[in-house]
Amino acid sequence: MSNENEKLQPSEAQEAASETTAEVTEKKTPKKAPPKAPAKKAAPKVTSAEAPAEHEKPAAEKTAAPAVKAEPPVKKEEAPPPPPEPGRYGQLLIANGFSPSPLGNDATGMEMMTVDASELLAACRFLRESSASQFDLLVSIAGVDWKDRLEAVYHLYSTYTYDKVALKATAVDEKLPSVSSVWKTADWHERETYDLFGIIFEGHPKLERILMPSDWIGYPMRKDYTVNDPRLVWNER
Amino acid sequence: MTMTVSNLPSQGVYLEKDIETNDMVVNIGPQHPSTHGVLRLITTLDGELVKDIEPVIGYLHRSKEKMAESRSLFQYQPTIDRVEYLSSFFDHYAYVAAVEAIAGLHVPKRVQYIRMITMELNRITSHLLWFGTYLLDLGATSPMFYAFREREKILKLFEDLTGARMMYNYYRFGGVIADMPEGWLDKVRAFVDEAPARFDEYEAIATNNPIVLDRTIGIGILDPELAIQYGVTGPTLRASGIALDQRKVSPYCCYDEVEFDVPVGTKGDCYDRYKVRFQEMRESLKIIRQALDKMPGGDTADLMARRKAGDESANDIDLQTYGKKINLLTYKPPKGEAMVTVESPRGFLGCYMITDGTPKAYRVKWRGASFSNLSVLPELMNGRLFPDLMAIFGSIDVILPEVDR
Repeated sequence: MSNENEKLQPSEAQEAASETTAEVTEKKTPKKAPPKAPAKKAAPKVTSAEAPAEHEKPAAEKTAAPAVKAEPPVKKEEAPPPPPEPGRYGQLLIANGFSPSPLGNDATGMEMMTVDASELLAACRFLRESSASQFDLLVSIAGVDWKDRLEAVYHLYSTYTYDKVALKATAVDEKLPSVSSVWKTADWHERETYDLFGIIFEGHPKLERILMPSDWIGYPMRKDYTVNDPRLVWNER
Repeated sequence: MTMTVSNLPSQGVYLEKDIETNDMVVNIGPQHPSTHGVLRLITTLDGELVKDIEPVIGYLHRSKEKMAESRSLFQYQPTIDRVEYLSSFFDHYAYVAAVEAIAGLHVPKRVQYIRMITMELNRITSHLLWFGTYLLDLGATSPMFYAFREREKILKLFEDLTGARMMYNYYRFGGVIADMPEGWLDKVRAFVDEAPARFDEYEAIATNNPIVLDRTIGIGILDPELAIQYGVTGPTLRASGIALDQRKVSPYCCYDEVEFDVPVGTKGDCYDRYKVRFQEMRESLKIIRQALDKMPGGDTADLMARRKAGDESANDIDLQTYGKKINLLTYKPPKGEAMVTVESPRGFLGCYMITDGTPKAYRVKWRGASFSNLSVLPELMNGRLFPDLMAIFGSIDVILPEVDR
């Protein structure tokens, strides 16, 4: 019986542990401890307060709090890793009045930074026209659906310096300014991003679907896209 | 538009009539033998003058990017060949290199040389097919068969190496499926030795043919500034005078260890694009020849003999066919992102991958070269006559799967 209780406890223990004594379990996961271990270790601490823990988590918090007074909490509350230093083009943008948030380099060593949607058009125009960067080729615009926000990633290439940079912009209200006045190729790339993700590019000359049929409903590349939309005709479902 | 027509005089009296002509909208439908795929061109014609042309794409959209989200990285690999079927080795290289960059996998030198040889042979097959179909569009039927004669030889080489003639699926993360068959290098050498004479023969078809010269010289001149604005890359851009070749400016996969030139055109017309592609085929032969000579470990038969004889140096990591033994079925690369662009026969072919520590990639985006190359077509066709459409469109070398994915 006690064994069964202990087996039932891991889920609760982990719940309670994850809420309040998260420090303890987090300290254990980097060591790749087997899943039972945290439960077994946490169980004795919570067993004493088992009854209140089953009913209410705040009770577990109060009872579990005194049990956790060791160093782990201090390690837990260490500051998040510092933001990466701006690279060459991040510094160039900062020096010219923009405020990008640098994201370090990607796996191939290309610089990445997040640009505000409000400064995106000006920053793109600056990067293309400035003699320090000369990004005259827009390689691609990729839409990404992080589940809480939509983002567009602009990959720029310079045919003079052969350098690359990636600008990321989060869509505000699913809208972004269109950079088709800076690079003509953005016309089709933005149409594709609109078609598949639903990001509306303001200022685009003719924003309409390019890959899907023109009367398609829904934005297929979004993570929550389902094909069983009753509004679609039966053979398109 | 109005035209005035005067009737034949009857007793010296001339009557003048005004004729109204409208612009005609001709739909070059998705099903068409010359559009190299399912592409719809809505052309507005005034007689034979093309007023406006609007490419409508999406007929070949197979949701390749969405497919990546429901398949593990390894399960997705067989579908990558079809992102652009004429350059499947390049598609695979972009994908595999992205994962190798994210995971920091070491790629043995031998593998890189094998990859380089296969990619350059793939470039030759792609350009040969382009040559055959381009001249077919212009009206000549026999060059197609000449081109396919050489192409058949290369496809046989690929079949010996990978088991497939077109959808190779040969690269894996950090390596290739298997080492080259014994004697394969000699077969490639035999091909490379007889190919230049053949290529000269094929190029002479256009160089000495007044019809081809009439239809391509001075037609479809692409201004380099405009080309870059429209994101045009590859031979189409190089024919306009800009020497941008990723193999030279940011070498990947041991391209910095071989010597080759980048052919560049002067005027940017269809004839220059034709010449540039032929010269690229010859440069590819140069690269392959050097790679054959420099292949680490040499022929597989020699390498196996060395290993059997107990030669420890033959077990060097750079002579293996994979850098690290990974269980592909459950392979989880670390979290990260990478954008890898390779120089495909049509331009910058890119794979932008975001991984999140699970066996499936979070986002795979394919940057197809033909997507941007095709968008420049309306500019090139501005004010040209209708028969030039096929000459210009064929010279851009658009492959629809890359456009629609």
